Amino acid sequence: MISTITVWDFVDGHKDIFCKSMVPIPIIASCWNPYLAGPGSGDEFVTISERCYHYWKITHDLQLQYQEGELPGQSEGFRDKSDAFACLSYVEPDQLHHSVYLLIGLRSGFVWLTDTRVNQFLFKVKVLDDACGGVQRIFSSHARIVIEAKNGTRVHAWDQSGKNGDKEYSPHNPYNFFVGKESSLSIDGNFKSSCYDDTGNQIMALSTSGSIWYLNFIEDATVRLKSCHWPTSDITAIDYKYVSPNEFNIEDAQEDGYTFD
Amino acid sequence: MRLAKVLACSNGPSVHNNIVWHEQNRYIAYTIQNVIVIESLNQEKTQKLLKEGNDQVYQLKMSPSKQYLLAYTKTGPMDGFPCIYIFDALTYKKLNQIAISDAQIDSVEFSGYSNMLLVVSNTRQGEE
Repeated sequence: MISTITVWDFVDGHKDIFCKSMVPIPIIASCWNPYLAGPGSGDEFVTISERCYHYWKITHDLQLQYQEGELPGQSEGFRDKSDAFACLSYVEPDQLHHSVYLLIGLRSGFVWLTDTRVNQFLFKVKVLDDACGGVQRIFSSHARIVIEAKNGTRVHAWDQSGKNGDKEYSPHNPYNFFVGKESSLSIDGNFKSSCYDDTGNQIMALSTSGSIWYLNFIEDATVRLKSCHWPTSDITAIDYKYVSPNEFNIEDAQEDGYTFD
Repeated sequence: MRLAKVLACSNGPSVHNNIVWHEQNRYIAYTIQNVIVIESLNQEKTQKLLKEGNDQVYQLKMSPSKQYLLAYTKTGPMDGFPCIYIFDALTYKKLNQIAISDAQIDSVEFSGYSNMLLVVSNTRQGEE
């Protein structure tokens, strides 16, 4: 299978391809490096495939150059043959960070941390149990790093404040990214979709049960905003019966243990 | 007779991350089949529907600038090719539509300054 990478200019109605490249391996996901200074320098991104990842750069003459990301030794790398990359996210940089770091989530529940400036694998950490089906999504902000599981009703977050109870540590050291206090919030199904605010304090999430939730890590709160049905098959006809308020008194019915038929 | 409310939301295997949140303008957007539902986070939960093309919307994205709302279809079994639709996130007017001449779109990402789109596509039809 051939994957095609294209960078499009879409502003003001344009449909122009800035640059294009084709690679003979399937690409699972991609992510721009949003932490380069200046409007003209937002020209780097990363792609992950099942067992490799690539750093890409758009050159001044609009060519795409890539460099293969460093993989660790066999004992440090993928857990087994079924293990593979699943998602990625840059760590929101702090002015005291020495580099820009990349988190790559794996099907085995591990997360790899790499240093993108020197293309170096730093370490891996197990963040999810095997039953969670792997890492589905990673979000990073100054406040926390959030991990969503593929098969799990809980979203996990690691505080980045530099304090975990009485213990203090440097949050600027990349080896401490998962040392902070862990917290989690749960919803009524697996996380199907999610949307974060800039701080990572709040999430809008859609569960596989069809509910839309508001989650707040500061308030430790989950609020169901809406329950939806999921039409797995087309609705071809409907019927309805009008029940006037005189005919149906829901308070009385509830007292009698009324159940809807 | 008029449509009062959409009560459904696609959440099966053929969609992924099909919800976005515009915090400043206080609305969420989600999809049902090929329709994008813009729902205000007010008490009335007023809805506005956007419909482009015939294929199921796979994913929604809000640009980092919160200026653009993007929807794309993973494959194009009905329209013939997968498509990317870009709307104004404030007025909901369609600003652009890009048809991808590949079998399947794997990923679409706004650049950090919301001025470029990174599109990864492939030649093999995936599972819908």
